Amino acid sequence: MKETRLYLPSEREDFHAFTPARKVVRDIIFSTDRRDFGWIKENIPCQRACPASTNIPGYIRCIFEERHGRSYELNRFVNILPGVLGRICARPCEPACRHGFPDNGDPVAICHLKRVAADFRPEGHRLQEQLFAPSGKKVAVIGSGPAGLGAAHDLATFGHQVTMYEAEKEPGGMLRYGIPEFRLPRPLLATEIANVLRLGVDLHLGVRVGRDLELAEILDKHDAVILSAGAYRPNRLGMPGENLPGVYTGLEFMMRVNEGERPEIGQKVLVVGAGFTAMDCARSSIRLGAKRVLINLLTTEEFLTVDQEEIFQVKYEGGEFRGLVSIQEVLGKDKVQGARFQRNRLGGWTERGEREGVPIPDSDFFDSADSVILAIGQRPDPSFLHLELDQTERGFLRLNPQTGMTSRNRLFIAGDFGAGASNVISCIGSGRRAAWAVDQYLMRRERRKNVVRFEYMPETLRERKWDFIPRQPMPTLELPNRLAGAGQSEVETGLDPDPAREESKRCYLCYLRFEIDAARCIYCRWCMDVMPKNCIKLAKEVVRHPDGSIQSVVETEDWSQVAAVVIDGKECIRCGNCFRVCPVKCIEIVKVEMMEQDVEA
Amino acid sequence: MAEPLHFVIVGNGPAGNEAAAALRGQDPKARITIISAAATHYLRPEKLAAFLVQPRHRLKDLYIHPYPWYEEQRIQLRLNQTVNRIAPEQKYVYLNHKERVRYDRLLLVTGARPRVPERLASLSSLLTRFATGADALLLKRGIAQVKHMTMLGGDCIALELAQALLPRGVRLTFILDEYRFWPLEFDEGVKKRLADSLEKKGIEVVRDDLAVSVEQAGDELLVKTRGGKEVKTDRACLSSGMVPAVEFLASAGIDTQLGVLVDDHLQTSRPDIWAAGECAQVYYSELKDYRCSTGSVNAEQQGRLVARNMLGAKEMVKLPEPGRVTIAGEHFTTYGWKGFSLDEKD
Ligand SMILES: Cc1cc2nc3c(=O)[nH]c(=O)nc-3n(C[C@H](O)[C@H](O)[C@H](O)COP(=O)(O)OP(=O)(O)OC[C@H]3O[C@@H](n4cnc5c(N)ncnc54)[C@H](O)[C@@H]3O)c2cc1C
Ligand SMILES: Cc1cc2nc3c(=O)[nH]c(=O)nc-3n(C[C@H](O)[C@H](O)[C@H](O)COP(=O)(O)OP(=O)(O)OC[C@H]3O[C@@H](n4cnc5c(N)ncnc54)[C@H](O)[C@@H]3O)c2cc1C
Ligand code: SF4
Repeated sequence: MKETRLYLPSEREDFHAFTPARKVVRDIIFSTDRRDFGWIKENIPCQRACPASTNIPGYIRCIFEERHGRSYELNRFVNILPGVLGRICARPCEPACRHGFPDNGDPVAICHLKRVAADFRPEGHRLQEQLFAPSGKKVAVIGSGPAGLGAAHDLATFGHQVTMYEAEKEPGGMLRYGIPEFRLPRPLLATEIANVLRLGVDLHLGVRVGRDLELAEILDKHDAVILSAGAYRPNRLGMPGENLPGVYTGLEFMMRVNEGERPEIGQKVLVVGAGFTAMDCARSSIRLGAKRVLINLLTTEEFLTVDQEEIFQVKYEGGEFRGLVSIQEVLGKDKVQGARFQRNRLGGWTERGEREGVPIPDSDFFDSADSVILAIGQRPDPSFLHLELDQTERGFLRLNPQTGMTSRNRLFIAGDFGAGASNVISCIGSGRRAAWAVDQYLMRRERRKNVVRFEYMPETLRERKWDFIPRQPMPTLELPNRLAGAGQSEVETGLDPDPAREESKRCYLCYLRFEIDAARCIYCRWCMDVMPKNCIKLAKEVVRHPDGSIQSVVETEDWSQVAAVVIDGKECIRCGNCFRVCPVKCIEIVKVEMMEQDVEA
Repeated sequence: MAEPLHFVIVGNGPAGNEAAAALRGQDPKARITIISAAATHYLRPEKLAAFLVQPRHRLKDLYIHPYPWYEEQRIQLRLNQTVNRIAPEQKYVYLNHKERVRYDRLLLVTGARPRVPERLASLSSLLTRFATGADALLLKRGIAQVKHMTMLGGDCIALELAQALLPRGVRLTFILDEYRFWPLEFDEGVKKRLADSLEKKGIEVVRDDLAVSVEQAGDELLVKTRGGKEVKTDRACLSSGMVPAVEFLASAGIDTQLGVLVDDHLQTSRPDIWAAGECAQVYYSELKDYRCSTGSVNAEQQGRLVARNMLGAKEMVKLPEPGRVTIAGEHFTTYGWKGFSLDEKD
């Protein structure tokens, strides 16, 4: 039997209930105060970690309320491709989630819930776009990957006429030609890309800028140009044997597989690399029939950028990891026969926060192989621009921090083409920011900005017992079904509605701000008697961030020093116990959300 | 006078017990605490297979130190308590019942546990484990009903079990995967001869295959292999070797790979924390490779050595001495298990 819908745990439920026949309008306040943005940064760790600042508690709550269409839209407003991201996002939000803090259990399955919104959104649901009147300005976008799509979407809503040039036969960039189909079904990708294109984006496929069309020409015909051509020049190790037949670069290998080819790899494959590409190469090799696939890491599994689930899937399919090695050379006569490695020990940390592997002298060993796949990353290659542009020390194009422009007037960049290989969500965020910069440049004013929205809540939205729900596992195909046919059936099959709703209950809803009004508080400390954790504190002073928002409180046990009783947003699990017992009702619950707002002239 | 140092030892296998005894021997004042997830005292797991089939044997008979020994040695023994987190800055270990214990010097001797291949991970509850005293007690309770047992992997623990179970008329199937005969490192020819000798003993041997699923089928289990074979059985026993039990250390910033990475003195990447025995991973220049030691004798030796180093010595850990094992009348030299023999006369 299906659980009856439960929106609010108290008798006040029906005041707040959302039913199709009924609409509740409440006081809503908007703010652009720096302290309010500061509060969000400090208190909603997942949203802060998201490069597109997705309103995560907001969309998770909608799943609980079974408003999947709305949940999808809360995502799509800022991250454009929710169904895609709900599958392959790098999910920087999850390690930041408060539910994963020590003693709190596992992080909320934020990404899987995004997919839930996409999977269960009603057919023909409403897409909301905030449109500006046509501006008469023309903007070109080069490359149709996530960055290009993010940019084109926002440019189109700003009313500009967008032309997109794409070298390949189909749009999507690495989403289409990098990420394998068994992780990202192509029909879904096509639908979400179409949602962008239908805003009036004029897409030209099969046009390679620099070969079929010069950038200078495009700059002449447009008011601004965004370069989002990705990173396609493979990093090289410069080691002997790198060019032997049977040595592939990771991206080249994946692109061929994604075009339907079956590259010759033999029985034993050595993959070198530690990112998404290395994992995809390994899993694709298994699907191509390799008997033994070893992923060779400079450091250890702990320092991989991919998450535990992905590592698990690689192992489940039979891939192996060999940590603490560095490849020295590929050996073979006319084709690969093996490779020479050195053992590493763990070293220090690089400036970019990566752990180093340091070779141990005299620790060489040989391992045989039929093919070697070097998935050690790629860099942007600006040579096709045929333009001299200023570069940074690290060899990327230099941007003017004020305007977001390159050293060439009217030329902007987004995504991996800017600062090198990253991930899809960062590229979408970067594409949209580039579009905002272009708009501000063309229209000479800010037409879209972030605001903080406050809404008073009559009750908390969660229950204490929900904290004990375990993280719901993602169901996957069994091994034989994964390898059947061309091996491209989607491996993760998605959460069903019931486990999805259970998972949504786990979110602490960090966007609810519980605050004690010091003017009304009578210091009875009843709230402290019912607190489930060490979440309410006696404070003698507060420590503030430079933006004025509260960073932490200095606690005291000496009554004569207590300046206020405060709820620590970082510990608070929004159970509402304090709110219910407070005899003077001085505790307020406010929903705090960051959103984009169009600025009227 | 200064407070005596508090040595906390996590794990009560051979490495932990030898370390505790050595610490006590050299520092009569030290405070020593052993914390272990195990429910039973320190015992030699190599005796567990025989215990399983001897109705009158009690687990207590296998204990190496009786309880009073710990009292005499003034070693506090805390069993059935799992460490789930370490805070090296504050020098605390956290137990899963939320207590925290402060240490001055910490020794990790958490050993290893049966490897659960990823493809079987979700079926974990259907699988039999045989590694601890508690596992043996559990299995012993239902052993009379076990008519057929399937070994998933075929490591040496499975061989020990087979040796005990075959004479009792239990039928056996071995599905030999890449971890067959773990931890002994044999070349393919020897592995083939060993598999042949299992067959000669009446064991059903499935070669070059691996179990991919286990399902409940009425009272029995149905094991399916990648090669398409199906085996009906009463018990499906994990036997793909052991892996160091170190997952809980990552959040403490203690470097791990296969096991806890330690230097030549068995010290971890964090000050005042050491590791030894099966959970410790050492680079041996002789092998040009890393290795986690296996076997009780090696664990004991490392336990004694690490105790000296924790008290200030700088002794280098050495590659384990070779030992001898006998299987099916053949003698082999190994660096891992010692005194391991599968011959009828033993
Ligand atoms: C195998 C693989 C797996 C990955 N898995 C993940 C994952 O699971 N999660 C994740 O977050 N990230 C993943 N990534 C990274 C992610 O795909 C990229 O960071 C992201 O796609 C970059 O977006 P982009 O728009 O900057 O560039 P791209 O997606 O590379 O798009 C650039 C587009 O520009 C086009 N182009 C290039 N040059 C020209 C030219 N001269 N003229 C016209 N068009 C041109 C290209 O054809 C391409 O379509 C993966 C990458 C790879 C290679
Ligand atoms: C069935 C069986 C038969 C064997 N036969 C032989 C043989 O014939 N010859 C041979 O040489 N070797 C044999 N071995 C291997 C030998 O027993 C091990 O090599 C040896 O016990 C390793 O010692 P150790 O001290 O490193 O770890 P262990 O003996 O594994 O001790 C580790 C202890 O740490 C505890 N622990 C783990 N994690 C935690 C935690 N988070 N918190 C608290 N406590 C924790 C465990 O409960 C355990 O008590 C056999 C092993 C088994 C299981
Ligand atoms: S509990 Fe919810 S709101 Fe809080 S960090 Fe995790 S996902 Fe975000």
